[in-house]
Amino acid sequence: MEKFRIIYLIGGVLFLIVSLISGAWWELIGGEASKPVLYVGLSPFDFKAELLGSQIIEASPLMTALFISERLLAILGSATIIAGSLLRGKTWSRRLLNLRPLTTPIGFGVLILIGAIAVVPSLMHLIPYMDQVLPDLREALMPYASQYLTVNLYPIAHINGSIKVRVVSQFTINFWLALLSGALCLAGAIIHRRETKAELFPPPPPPPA
Amino acid sequence: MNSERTLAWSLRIITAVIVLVPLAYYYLASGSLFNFIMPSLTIPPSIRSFNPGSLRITSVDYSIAGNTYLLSIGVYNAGSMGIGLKEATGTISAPSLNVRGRFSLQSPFLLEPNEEERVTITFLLESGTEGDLATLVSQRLPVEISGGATLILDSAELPLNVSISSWSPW
Repeated sequence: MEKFRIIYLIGGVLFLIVSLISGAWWELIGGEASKPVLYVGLSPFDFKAELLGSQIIEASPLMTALFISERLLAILGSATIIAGSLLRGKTWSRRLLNLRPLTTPIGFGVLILIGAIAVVPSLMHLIPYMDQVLPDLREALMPYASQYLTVNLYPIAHINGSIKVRVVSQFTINFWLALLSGALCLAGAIIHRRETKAELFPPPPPPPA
Repeated sequence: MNSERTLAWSLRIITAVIVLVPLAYYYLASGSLFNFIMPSLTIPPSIRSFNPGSLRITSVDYSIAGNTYLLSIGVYNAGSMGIGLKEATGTISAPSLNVRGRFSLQSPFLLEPNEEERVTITFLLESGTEGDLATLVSQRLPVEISGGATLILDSAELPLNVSISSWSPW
């Protein structure tokens, strides 16, 4: 089997596993990680928001439909990669190789960053009370940026002071595995392109001595 | 070549079906555009009625050993969910009287709704005198508080740092 097919195969299997298992790709944990007060988990396939262990936000039918579609597309994408890398005798097998394992986690990561950089400040601009109570919400939501969320007490209780609550915003192992599978597929695509180029334009014969 | 084209078109059609069928199904099942788009928010009653003021101090006794005060505080949970403290340490100061001391919760506690317990806190007076402390309490002067604690809410734990520049808790 060609080198690029092996790399694609590993990437495809890895992405298939990530697509089938449940679990967040990005999570926000308020409080102790083992016993959180607030837990928000998001992936392209699922959404969970819990306060003291009780689910507080249920995904809308639109979100549920998009999650199902995204999961099925991820399964289809990885299944075609696996089939394409195994069916080496077929000329059309290369058509099945794709970069969905790369585009999905990159798109997801970009959406999370856009949410933290653009959406949260816009919300805080619209709701000034939120800005007064939680001045560093944006930093707290940004993955790996901050470990604490400041809660100003004056707007709530008319006390001059603040409470810093422990908050963790991070990408989970599922996200990194998806990104790894994407990197493998990208490596496979680069090797494949190089090999194709070498086949089309073979190196010139050495000049006669 | 033909089979390649068929394969490409099949994949495009499958992709379109995968995207459109769940959207159509959930849209039709939701009844209206508003229900289709908006997520539903459900806050359990115990959380909705949560009030930090539900932890009430019922009595305060103290004994003195040198610079250290041993406070025995009766606390009562009037709320609807378990509340307690795992750790609590920090400093209290009153700049107007040059009083400063360090407090520490002796043992963690968790009070279920309508439960009462006695909690022990040590207070080490680092600067100022016992008289200053009495003045502070009797005149209800504002204090500065800084420290860390782990708040327990039912089975969840919330580590936090507090920094209050002027507060009259009396």
